Amino acid sequence: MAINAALTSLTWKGVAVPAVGSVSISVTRPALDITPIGTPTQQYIAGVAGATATLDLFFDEDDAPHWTMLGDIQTATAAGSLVITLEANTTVTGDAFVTSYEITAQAQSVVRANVQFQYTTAASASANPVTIA
Amino acid sequence: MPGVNIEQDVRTMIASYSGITNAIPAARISHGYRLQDGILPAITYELTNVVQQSISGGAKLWLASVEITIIAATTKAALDVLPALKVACGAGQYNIAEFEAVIWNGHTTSAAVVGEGDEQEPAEVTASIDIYYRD
Repeated sequence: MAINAALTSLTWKGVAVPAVGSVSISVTRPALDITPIGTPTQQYIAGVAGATATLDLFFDEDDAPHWTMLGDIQTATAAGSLVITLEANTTVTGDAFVTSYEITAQAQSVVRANVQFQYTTAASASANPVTIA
Repeated sequence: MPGVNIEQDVRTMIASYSGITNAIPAARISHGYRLQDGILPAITYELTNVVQQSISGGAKLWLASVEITIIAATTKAALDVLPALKVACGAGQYNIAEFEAVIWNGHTTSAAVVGEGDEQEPAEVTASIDIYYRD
């Protein structure tokens, strides 16, 4: 079954984020090369897992979470909860830092903001960078 | 925001500016239809596309692409209304919908045509705008 791309909700620090044009989540675990010198073939072990998320916003100063994210990157606040609910009972949850906030204005368009998040594993959470349930 | 009628709200936006209605009475502003023998100048408009822009929950952001045509006996008469139309096409609350951003993309001009006999086509200035609003 396909999932409608319209999110049920997307919250940052518990507050719903409006006017999200798109969202993407990337969970990676790059393999580590442990190939000994002189070995004819490559050998790997599982590396360290991480996750990032990217939001494309229709920037609006009246939307409080848009300002909150910008403030977070300027004041180096602690990681916050980023919850992306694709549909009921399908969520991607984790604690993340805002790592990039890029505002773009171009002719014949509205102002857009591209926001990037780096997930981190909270001390009390599981070892996974994000929880997908 | 239930009950948004974007077609009606676009008309409200155009007709709510006195600079327009001083030149063209609101009764001559119509959605996509005008009697051939109607009094000029007049304005017609149509929504060429309405697409959803945002995916997040709650009120969604929509983009309506609109073409507004000023019809007049001469090119000059049509162009004379254009500055007022530019002012009229602005952000604001129109009926239920709040137009958060109105982007003026430009306009095209078609000169009046006089054919053989009594056939005549009026001049038309067609402006293209994009409206961002929430439902």
